[in-house]
Amino acid sequence: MKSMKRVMRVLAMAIMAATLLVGSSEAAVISISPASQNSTIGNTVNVDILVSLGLGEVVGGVSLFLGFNPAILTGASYTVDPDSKMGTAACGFCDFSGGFSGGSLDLFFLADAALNQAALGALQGGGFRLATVSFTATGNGTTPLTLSFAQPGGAFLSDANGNVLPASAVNGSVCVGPGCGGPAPVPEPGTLVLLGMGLAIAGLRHRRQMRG
Amino acid sequence: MINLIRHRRGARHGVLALVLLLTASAASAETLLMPKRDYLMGASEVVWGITTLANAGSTYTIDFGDGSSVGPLALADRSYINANHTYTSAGVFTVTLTVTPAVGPAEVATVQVQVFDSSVLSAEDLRNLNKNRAIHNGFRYLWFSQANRTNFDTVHVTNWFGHTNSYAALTVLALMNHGFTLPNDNSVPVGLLQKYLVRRGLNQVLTNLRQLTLTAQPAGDPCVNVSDAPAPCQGIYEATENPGYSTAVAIAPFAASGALNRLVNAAEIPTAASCGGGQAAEGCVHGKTFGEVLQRLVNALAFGQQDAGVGRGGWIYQFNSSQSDGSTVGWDMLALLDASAAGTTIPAFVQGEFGNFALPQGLNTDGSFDYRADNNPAPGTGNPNLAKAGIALQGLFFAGAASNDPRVAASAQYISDRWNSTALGQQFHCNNGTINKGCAYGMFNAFKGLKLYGIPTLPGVGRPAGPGAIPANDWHADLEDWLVANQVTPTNSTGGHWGAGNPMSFSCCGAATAQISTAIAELILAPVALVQPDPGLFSSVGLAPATATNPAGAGSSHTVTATATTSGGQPVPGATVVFKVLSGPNTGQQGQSVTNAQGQATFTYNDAGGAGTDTIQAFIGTLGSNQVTKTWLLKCDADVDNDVDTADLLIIRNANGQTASSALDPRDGNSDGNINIADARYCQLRCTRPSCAQ
Repeated sequence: MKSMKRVMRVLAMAIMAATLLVGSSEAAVISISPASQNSTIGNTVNVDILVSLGLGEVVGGVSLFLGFNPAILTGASYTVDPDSKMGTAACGFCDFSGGFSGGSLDLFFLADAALNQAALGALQGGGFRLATVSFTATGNGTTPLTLSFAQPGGAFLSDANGNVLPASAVNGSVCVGPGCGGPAPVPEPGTLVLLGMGLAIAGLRHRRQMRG
Repeated sequence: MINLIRHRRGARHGVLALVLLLTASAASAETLLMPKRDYLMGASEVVWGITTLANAGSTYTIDFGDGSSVGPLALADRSYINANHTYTSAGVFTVTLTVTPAVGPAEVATVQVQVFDSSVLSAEDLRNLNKNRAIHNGFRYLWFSQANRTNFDTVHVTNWFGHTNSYAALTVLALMNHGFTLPNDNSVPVGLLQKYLVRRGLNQVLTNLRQLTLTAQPAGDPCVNVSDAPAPCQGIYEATENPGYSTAVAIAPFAASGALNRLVNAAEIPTAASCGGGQAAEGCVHGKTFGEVLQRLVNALAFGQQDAGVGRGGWIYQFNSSQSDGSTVGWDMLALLDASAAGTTIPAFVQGEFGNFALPQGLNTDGSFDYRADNNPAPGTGNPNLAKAGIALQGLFFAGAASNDPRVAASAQYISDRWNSTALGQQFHCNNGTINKGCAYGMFNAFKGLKLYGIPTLPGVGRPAGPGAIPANDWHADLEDWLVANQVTPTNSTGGHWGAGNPMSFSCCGAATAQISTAIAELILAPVALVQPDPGLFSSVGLAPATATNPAGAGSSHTVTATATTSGGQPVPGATVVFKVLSGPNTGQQGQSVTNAQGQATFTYNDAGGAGTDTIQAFIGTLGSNQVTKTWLLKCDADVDNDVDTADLLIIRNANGQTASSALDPRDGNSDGNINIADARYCQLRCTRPSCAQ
């Protein structure tokens, strides 16, 4: 048990390290919260799409697809910029989201044009909720919640001035049904998380060596 | 007129004869007014026309279109019906000439005139108006002063006295260079000047040409592109004056006619000197096209080129003589350059012979050119003057010297230094003592040489800039100013000329007539130095590119290219092209340049008006090119409606993830090659109206 806990702490550190490593080269990270959850048919499943920002970064526009298995979840509703960190709702002409279609939610929205770099920075700080999404669980099984953007020339985020803000994404998942009671499966990590994992494992080996 | 007081049978015959007479009169009668032109409000201007109806018993009325008229008056001179009129308001008016014969229906002719109020014109527009008035008053004088005016409809030749054939050729050339050309087929020319002046003046030249057997020359075979080539063949030349230059002068109007497919009308010149009397059919002008006549004229000129010694490759008064005469060479250069532009084949040896021998033998190191080539390049030798320096430029152009050739600069400098001076070592002034302004020969040769090389200004001119975009020391503007200011009684019904020696003389040695001064003045006032381009080609494909798109903004420029060619596709150098932005955000921008050896002139302008589409057109005189467009694209204006609004943002959103179609793709607001959320944000910040309203 102790060793298992130790493994779990090392893994958490690896994830954190991976996140920090990701932040140093692609500081903005878009993620799903909760990263995983369980539900049963007929229940509402709510997720937040979050963004964490590096120093000086602000979001002037968002464009993403949230993919899911429509056999397991049915899209119900969404709200962009729910905490008014971009002024989208008040803008009146800033939301061009396409909404739900099959197994995808198309979000495309801008910050209020009146909010410049400084104003957006004051609102957004180190990160905020980009959107909230509600599903209805309609089938048993596990569906990943995948984040992507239009290819080949798309991007997740724009900065305040109309330049692409580089960002990576961490996907989530939802399990529906009676078989979902155990620990939530580890979500599929981004590529650079693997580097942090490697470092964590190296740290684990080092402790063993020291002990040995 | 049949006496109708007869018994019944005779009466019927009389009535029939009367009907036939009336029918014949109606079919053959013609009444024409002057070409469409401009007038100055408040000035007493001459309105004029002609009729083929008989003077006797006829009356005429001229309605000026502004509510006033003269007549009916007895017709005293059907060949020159004229009246002075002062328009008191500006606008476009329809002038109507009505001639009523004693018996039969009236003849009516109309023409539109445009009257301008000088008080509302810019200085530049007023200058152009006065130039146009001078040109048309000069045309009127050439009509009025011709030898066979009163029988213009029955005598098919006319001339302007002096050196009869050469002056006729130069006068016809002047009219052609203002656009009064002949149809390139055998149809009857339309228009008073084309039908009754140009056609008949050219007939004068044709009637007096003669044929000459051309033999092989030491330099080569002069018989090219004719049915009886190779040598010996029949050439055609002008022998009544001095063929070394008169043949050259005769060449010019055929080259400028735009009618090389037109057949010589034997019925109009039955006594053509080159025909009959046992002469060879190949040398007879009857039944030949203008193009063939032109080719045989050029072949004869090539035949007459000097063969050896100092002066080899040049020309003097007689063919195959022993010297090269600088003044004769000037006319030969005009002829050969005009003929080249018309697509005529110049025998292969001519250019090299001239360029390798006569040209360097006549050129001096100070840019002057000898009267008689002496192979001595020392400055001031050979009786030089400004006119011959202009001939030097023409010779250098014919020989293929580039515009940056130091010899070109030297000759231009020579002209510049003497622009306002009759001294500085010059010889053979015009009869009135002038060398440049006031001397037709000087002005015309400087004009041709400087235009061919597209030299716009000379420091020695001393003319201030303006009006408008005319730069300081614009030599052509200086000549135009002088001509407009010195036209003699331009609004008098018998005026509109430049004097027989005062104020303008033809040369040192040629007959000074008001007619030849007027012809040379008109040549200098023409938009082309050589020949007019083919109007069909210029008006359809003369300006390019047809469309173009650039980002809007002051730092963005656009260039259009005008190309002037003859019907055979030969380039026309020396044509002055005016470019105008007719509509769009840059309306009013304009520029001017001269076509180069490739017949091309360019105009570059910057976007000063922002987004939108400009329409641009080029003009050579009154000949307009096709219109082209230039779209100045507002970045983010995805639907190209000259604004940025939510409609454009929606287009960008719908293209999310695509790569930009080009660097000018308006959807790629941040110009990174992709269309995505960043472009939406970029363009949102540039919406034209608040809240990105449409």
